[in-house]
Amino acid sequence: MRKFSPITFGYEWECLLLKDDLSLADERDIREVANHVRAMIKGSETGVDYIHMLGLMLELRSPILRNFAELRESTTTHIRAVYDECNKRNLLFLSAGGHPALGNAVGLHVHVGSIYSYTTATKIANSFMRYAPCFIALAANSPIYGDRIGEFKSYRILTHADFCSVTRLLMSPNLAQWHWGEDVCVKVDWHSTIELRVGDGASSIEFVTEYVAFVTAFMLRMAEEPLTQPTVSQYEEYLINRWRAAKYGLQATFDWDGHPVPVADILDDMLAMARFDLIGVDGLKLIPRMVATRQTQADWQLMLYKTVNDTFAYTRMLIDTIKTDDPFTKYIENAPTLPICKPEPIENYILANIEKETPYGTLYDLLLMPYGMLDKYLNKLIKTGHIRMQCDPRYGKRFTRV
Amino acid sequence: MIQRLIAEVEDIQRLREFNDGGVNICEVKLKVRIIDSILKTKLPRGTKGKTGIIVRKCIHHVPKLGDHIVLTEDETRKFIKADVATRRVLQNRFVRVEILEPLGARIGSLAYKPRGMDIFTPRLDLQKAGWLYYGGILDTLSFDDVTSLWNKGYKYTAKGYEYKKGKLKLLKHISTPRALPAVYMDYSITVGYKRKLDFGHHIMLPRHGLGQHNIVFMPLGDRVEHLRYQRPLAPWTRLYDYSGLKAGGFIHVDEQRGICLLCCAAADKIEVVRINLHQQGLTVTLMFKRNELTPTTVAKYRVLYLVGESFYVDRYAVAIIARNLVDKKFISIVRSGKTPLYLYLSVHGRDIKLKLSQKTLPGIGTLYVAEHKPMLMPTAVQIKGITYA
Repeated sequence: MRKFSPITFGYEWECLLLKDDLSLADERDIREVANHVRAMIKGSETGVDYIHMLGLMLELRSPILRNFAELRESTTTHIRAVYDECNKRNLLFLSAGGHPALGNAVGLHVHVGSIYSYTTATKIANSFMRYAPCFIALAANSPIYGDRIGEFKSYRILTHADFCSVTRLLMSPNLAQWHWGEDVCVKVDWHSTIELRVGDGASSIEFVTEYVAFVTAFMLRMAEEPLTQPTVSQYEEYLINRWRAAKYGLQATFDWDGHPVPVADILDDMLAMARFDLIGVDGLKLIPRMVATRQTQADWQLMLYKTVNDTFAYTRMLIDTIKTDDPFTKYIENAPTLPICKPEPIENYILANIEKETPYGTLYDLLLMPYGMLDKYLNKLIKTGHIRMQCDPRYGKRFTRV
Repeated sequence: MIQRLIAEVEDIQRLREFNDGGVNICEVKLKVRIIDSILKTKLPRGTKGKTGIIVRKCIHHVPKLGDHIVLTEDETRKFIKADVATRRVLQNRFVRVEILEPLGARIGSLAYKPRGMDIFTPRLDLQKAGWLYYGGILDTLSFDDVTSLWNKGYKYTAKGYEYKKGKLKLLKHISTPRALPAVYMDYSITVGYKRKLDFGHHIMLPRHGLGQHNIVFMPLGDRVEHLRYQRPLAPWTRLYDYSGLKAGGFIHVDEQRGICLLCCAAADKIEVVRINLHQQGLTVTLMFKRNELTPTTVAKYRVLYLVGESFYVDRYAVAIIARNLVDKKFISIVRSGKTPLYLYLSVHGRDIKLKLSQKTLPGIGTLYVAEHKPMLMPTAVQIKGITYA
């Protein structure tokens, strides 16, 4: 018996609506655009979501989809409806992993259903978890994030999407409970889906279509495999690969069952395994090309950014550029192949964030790594004389670079 | 306070097209006309409608006639220089202060002259109300709402900076005393009806350049508390409230740059000091005790900010040392909840003992001051300790 029955899927594509001065549009306007889109497209669940302390963003939510043709139709009609309404209201439409001049998380979430057993869904989510960093690498699209530029391809994931895409807790399926914002999130209590929250908001409509199809087809395949709980070392690899995906995108080298493997190679295998047939599509075009060239939307954004080197001017330029006929898809056709990056030890990143009296909790926030694992790296840094630890009755453990 | 200009494209001339690494690039010359700005504010006279030429490299998208574009910082500065008309400058031998009138008449720049270093450099940040400048010393009428007077325009009068809203009238006078590395801020507030008044200051250090070398120290009588800044990954804020500042002061120190800011107010009037470490930066909020006003009463507040290059803190006192730019004399200032007698300095590795003298400032309380002879050579002077009566 199939674990997903019937096969349904959908997406939540978060986008920003801005004024001419690149500040967020008035909440009333954003709500009205959402209402208009929902009224125009049958089954659309489009609405708004909150940006912490700042205002609202538009969330394009597809109807419940059953096949690739419906998916393509949905993305096209949603975009058309949004642009129509924005033109009428003199609003700017920005779809990317964040507001480049500001740096805030904007995501692309995929839901796969229908599944009604929380326990079974947890088993699938646990199994799927180690592949989440592959999708992070693929969807990386937030390389310009306020005052942070180009060191990471997904600053959104580096900052855990403002803690709205956090590492999945590894729970025994029988004891599993809901936990806010996990990368792979079981949503059986509110819907009938497993949600992948790791994707950066996309700037390419074709990418959205193919990415949603890929996540769905791969999760359907996972559900057919024997479901195994990741081991402790696989869980650690998931956390480290997650960081590497955010830093290097498709150029990353992952730790995979104890071996260094380029993420592009893993994605190649995943593309071959995915059950595209179950959603009525032969295969994809854009994503295999991205994997072959190791180019992401983040690389494309960085290339565009270099023409102005200014986050404000760039934000406006990006808005105008993505309005044209899916420029990323055109770019990828002739894009050069990027080299594979060597894996950087994770302790270097931890050390770089330790200065004076750095709280233990601050270091936890960097990777959301279980404290036992984090201790292993901190103890290593203490032993090698890079840092020292102080214990304070009030503030707990704090670390200082030597 | 204009960050970027927004312009409309009036004319386009394609200069050349070339291919760079598989990407087609079109270089264009654009004639643009200025129409607006980020942050939205009154443009300097003659700026709106001004036309000029900019050259851009375009990939995928070449602007069309009538399109709006945002100019880069360099392009913006071709049309307007830093709009100095909106700021007033006060200075003495130690400090240089810039008051940004359109932004709540805040102290937007407080520079320690001997080192040419500024405590603040306000930066544009997006808040719910739109783009706002983060940074400086701002008045506030609300404990929790940082933005209550954030971008409010104050009118400059002979008496000081005036802000009026309905029956509320806030008059702020800012001055720099000749003998101290300091800025005084005096307030008279009337509300015109019976009302409880909350008043305080937000001292906002924007995140640029901030790190764990930025520390706030608070002497609390039984202990010294300190907090270091680290930019959090999470968007929510962590708040730390401190009460019982018997010394009537606290100090912010930038260890890396060797510059510190000591804030003083009447100890019995301070209700709480709140430290807020968040993604936009570090905010230290000084709130005075709530004042119950009648239509005729005037609430008066006074805050003193002292700037220096070296500091000392123990559980009773905070002290700073600053040098005079003109005659190179050092001045040490102690703010203490207990009477200090002597101050110990280390100069050229030698210990020096200085007797402190009292200096009473109305509305602030007592400062303890000692001067050291001029140091003609560049000298690192450190405060080693204080002895008490």
